[in-house]
Amino acid sequence: MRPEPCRRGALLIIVTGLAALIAGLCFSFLVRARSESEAMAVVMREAQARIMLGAACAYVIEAGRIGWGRECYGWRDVRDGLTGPKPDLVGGDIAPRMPIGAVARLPAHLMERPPSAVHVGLANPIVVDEASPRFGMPYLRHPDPRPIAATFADFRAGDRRPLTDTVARAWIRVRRDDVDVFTVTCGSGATQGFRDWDEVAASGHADDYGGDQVHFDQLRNDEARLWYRLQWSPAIASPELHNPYPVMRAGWAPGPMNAIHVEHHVAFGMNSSQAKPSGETDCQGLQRNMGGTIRWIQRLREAPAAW
Amino acid sequence: MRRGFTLLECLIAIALGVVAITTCFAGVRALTAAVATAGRLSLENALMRDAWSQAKHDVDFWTDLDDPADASRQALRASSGGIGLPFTPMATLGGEDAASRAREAAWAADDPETWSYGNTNEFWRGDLRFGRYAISQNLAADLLVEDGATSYGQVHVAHTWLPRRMRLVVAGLGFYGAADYLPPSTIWSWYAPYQGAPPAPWEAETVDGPDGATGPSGAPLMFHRWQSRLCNDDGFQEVPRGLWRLTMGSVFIVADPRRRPEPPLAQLIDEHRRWYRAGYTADADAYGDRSWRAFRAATDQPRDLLPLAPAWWPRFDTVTARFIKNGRFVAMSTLRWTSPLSGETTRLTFASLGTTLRGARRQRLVGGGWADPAQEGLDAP
Repeated sequence: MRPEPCRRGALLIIVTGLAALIAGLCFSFLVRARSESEAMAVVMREAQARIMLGAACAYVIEAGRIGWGRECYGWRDVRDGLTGPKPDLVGGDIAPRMPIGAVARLPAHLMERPPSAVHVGLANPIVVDEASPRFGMPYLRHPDPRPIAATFADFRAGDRRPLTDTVARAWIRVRRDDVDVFTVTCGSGATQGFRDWDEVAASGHADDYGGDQVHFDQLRNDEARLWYRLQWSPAIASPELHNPYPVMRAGWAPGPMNAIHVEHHVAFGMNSSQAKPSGETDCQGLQRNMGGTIRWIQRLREAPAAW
Repeated sequence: MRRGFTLLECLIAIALGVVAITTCFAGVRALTAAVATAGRLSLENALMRDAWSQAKHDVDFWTDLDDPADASRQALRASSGGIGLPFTPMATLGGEDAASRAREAAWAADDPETWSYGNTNEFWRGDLRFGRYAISQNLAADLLVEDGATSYGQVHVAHTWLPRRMRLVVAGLGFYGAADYLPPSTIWSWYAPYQGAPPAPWEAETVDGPDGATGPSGAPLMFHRWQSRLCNDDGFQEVPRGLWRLTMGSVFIVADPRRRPEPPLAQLIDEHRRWYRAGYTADADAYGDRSWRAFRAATDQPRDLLPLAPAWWPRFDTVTARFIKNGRFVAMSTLRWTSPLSGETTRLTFASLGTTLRGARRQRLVGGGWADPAQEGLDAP
C-alpha cells in the first residue's frame, strides 16, 4: 500500500530540513575553516618575512668581504676607513663594489647546485668492522671535501637554476643608504623583491609574470613586506680572556702557574669548555666571525622613500 | 471512504517518530557542541594570532617598555645626575661635541681613537709589572699618574675619546644599554685618575660605580674585580672582560618599568646596573636562585592581551623579556593562555630577531612621538 500524499510531504519536509541543517553547518564550517586559513596565512607570511631579516643581516655581513671576485675588507674598509668593499688600497682597485644608493634584489630559493658545492656525506668514514685491518682508522683514502662537479670551472660556476619547489616564497632587498647603513626589505611572496611593475618592466623580467601587471600587483598585494634599517660594524666577537691563571686559587693551575696574584698572559680560550688546564690553549677564543657584526637594527613603521 | 490508522500503525508511527526526534535532537546537540568547540578553537586561534602579532610588535617597536605616544609610559627615559636608563635621551646625558659624535657614528676600525690601549690582563691590584697603561689612554687628558705608593708624574694622555665614550654609555644607559652601543669587541675597562682601593676586604666590596675606587693602574675596580656590580662571580676572574665573559653565567637586562608594584627611579637605576644569575649559576643547589628570581621578576611581567574580554574567553597574556646572555642579545617572548573551562595554562616561548635598543631609540623623538627613519631619535644632540 502506498502512503498518503500528505505523509509523503511531511517526510520530505523533515528530510529536506535535516539536509538543509547539515548543509548549512557544513557550509559555515567550511567558511570558518577558510577564514581561519586566510587569517593564518597572514601570520605565516609575516613570520616568513621576519625570518628573512636574519638572511639580510647575513648578507650585509658577508658581502662586506666576499662575493666580489676578490676579497674585500668591509663596507667601511678597515684599513683606510674609506668606502668599500674594495680589494685594494690607494693606487689599486678601489671602486666600491656596491656604491651608495645601489640596490641588491635577492630572491631566496635553493639552486640546483650552488657554486662550490661539495658532497655532504663522509668521504673517509671510520671503519667499524672489527675484522677489518683498518678497523677504527680514519685514513685519508679519498679526497675530502669532494666536489660535486666534474670540472673546476663547473665547480666554481655551479648550476644556479632555482629548484622549482623553492621559488616565489621569500626574498630580501638591500639598499645601501650610506657607507655602512642599509635599508633592508624582507618579503614573503612571489614578487622576488621587485618594488613595482615599472621596475619589473625596466629590468626585463615582465615575462616572469606573463607580462601581466595585474597579476604582479596581485602578488604584491598578497605578500608581506617589512622594512628595516641597520648599520654594519667591522667589530667581531669579544677577544677576551677567560679565567687567566693569576687569579686562580692554589691548586687550580699546573706547575709554575700555580701561584696567586701574579700577572702573566696565559689564559684559557674564550670557550673554556674546549680548553684544557694543561695550558695548550693559551689563545683567544674560537673566532669564526670574520665579516663583522650588525650594530643596530631599526624596524621602520612604513615604507621609506628609497628602498 | 478514508481508512483510519490502526492502533498498531499508530504505535509504530509514534515509536519511529520518537526515535527520529531523539536522533535529531542528539545530532543537533552534537552539532551544537561541535560548533561551540569550533567557535572556541577559532577564538583561541584568533587570540593566539593576536598575541603573536603583539609579541612581534613589541620586539620591533619596544612599546611594551616605552610608548612614544604616551608620556606616562616613558619611565625608562628618566635620569638622575647623569645616570640614566636605556631610553634616556643622549642630550640629557650630554657633553658630546660634533666631532665626537661623528667618530662614534663611524667607529671606523682604522681610527686610532677607537682602539683600546689598555692591558687586557690588567689585574685589579697588580704590581704594574707590564707598565702603566694609564698614560696611553685615560678619561682625563692631563693627570698626575700615581698608584698610591709611587708617582709617575704629570702626563698628557694622547687618547681620551674611547674611555669617555664608554663612560657616557655605561653611566648613562646602564649595562644593557652600554653593551648595545659599544662594539662587541669591546674590552670593558678604562683608566682614570687613581682613586685608591677601599681598605675593606675586597670580598665584601660588591657594589662599585664606574667612578668609584680604582686599582693601582687607575682602572675602576668595577671592571676588574670578581663579583663586582658588573662582573659575575664565575671563575674568580679579576682582569677586564668582554661581553661574552661578562654574561657567561649571568645576564644584563632591560627592566620592565610597568610592572606592579611600579618600581621607583632608584630601583630602575639599580636594576640596570647589576648582573643577574642565569644558566648554571642560577642552580638553586649551587649558588641559590634569588638573583634568578629577581631577573625574572624584572623582565617577565605578563600583560593581559585583552583585559576587558568576556570571562568565557581564554585569557591571553604576553611578555617579551630582553637580556644579554653569553654575549647574545635576546628578545624572549612568551605567550600564555588559560582555558576558561579547565583552567589549564599553556605557554609558547620563542626568541626573535628584531629592533635593537639603539634602533628603538632611533624610532623615538625626545619630546614624544615617532621619529622619521633619517632622524637620530633619542640620540639627537
